[in-house]
Amino acid sequence: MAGKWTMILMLPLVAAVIVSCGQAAPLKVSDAAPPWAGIPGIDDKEHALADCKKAKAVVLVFTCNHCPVAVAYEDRLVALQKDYASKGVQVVAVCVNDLDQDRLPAMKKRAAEKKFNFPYIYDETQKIGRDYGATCTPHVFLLDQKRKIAYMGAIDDHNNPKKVEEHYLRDAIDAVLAGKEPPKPVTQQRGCGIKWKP
Amino acid sequence: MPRNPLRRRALWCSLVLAVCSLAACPLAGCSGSLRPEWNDRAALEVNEDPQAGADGGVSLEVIDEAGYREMLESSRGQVVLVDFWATWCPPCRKLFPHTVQMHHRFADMGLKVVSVSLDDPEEPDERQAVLEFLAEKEALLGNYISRYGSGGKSFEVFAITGGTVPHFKLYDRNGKLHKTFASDSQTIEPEEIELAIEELLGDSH
Repeated sequence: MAGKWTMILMLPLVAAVIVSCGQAAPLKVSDAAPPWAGIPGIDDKEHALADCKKAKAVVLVFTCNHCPVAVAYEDRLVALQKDYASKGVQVVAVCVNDLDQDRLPAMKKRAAEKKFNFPYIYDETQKIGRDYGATCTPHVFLLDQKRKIAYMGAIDDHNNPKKVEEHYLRDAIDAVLAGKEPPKPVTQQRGCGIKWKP
Repeated sequence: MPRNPLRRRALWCSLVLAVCSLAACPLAGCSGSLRPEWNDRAALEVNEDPQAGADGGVSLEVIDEAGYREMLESSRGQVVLVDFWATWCPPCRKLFPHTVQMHHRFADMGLKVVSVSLDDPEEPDERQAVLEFLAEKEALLGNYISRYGSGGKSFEVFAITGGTVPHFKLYDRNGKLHKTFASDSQTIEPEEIELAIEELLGDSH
């Protein structure tokens, strides 16, 4: 009974999220993931979605240096890559912000400090951000083995790691790896707005 | 489902509205259902936080979705501007003085200005930081801190679409949501908020 009511109460929220994403983000769950290529990383190499050919799932996360919410999630991304590397999951972090403290030199420094164990790339053209309809940092997109969008939204439900109750992204990855649909394919991303070029 | 995307959206919206009117509803787009079942004073008093501190005449109360609806309900007759912000959000801190300014300029004309911080009320440090900031800005407004802190639930229950703060909501004198200013796709222009306030204050006299 309680469960049913929770579902009914959640409906307007889910519907509202879908409606709002229909306006802000062109991408929908199960759409083909827009490929990217030629985006320089902190390793000074160019990166492409095709580099992740062997991965069973790809976590594309829009992030940056300056945003306190994005910073709060850095350790969780490192832990995620560590926990899921052997399961064939590849994290790719991308920054598109038009801000000095979010460009490659600063990204290199931050990645070294936090020991990022995944590519961290910078798209000056911001195209990847527009292709995915990213609105803020962090904003994640989970790509399944067929490179379709399986999940998009927040990493989990609380910026404070001690207060997390729902691990949206991990739950979605577990589902995808098991050949199932994520329990919540779309959640509300939260963070700092992406700094688009004027 | 209709092919036309506009009609499809309209259909979604009517679905949202229909469900909203049955359930406690996120505030955007559902203003019709703000008409509350607000006879339960006992439940409301639970929202008043005995630990709410005061600093330089500035007060801070914890608020949840029920308290928010009550706040709107008790503000009928006034235009209400709500500033959703957080101490961890630099653009919010930058825009906040403008919010205080709106209070000074338009309070006499019937504007009520409210701030809702998405800091964590259970963390004494964060709560203190909020109070200090409010005191520094001489924010003698209706100041609240979300019961759900910076968690996703704050964004859901207060319908902060786009997932970013600063975020402003402007309600007309009947408690109906008039306009939302979100920072997910563009920078919020203070002048636009001002213009919308002036329009509403002018309209309803």
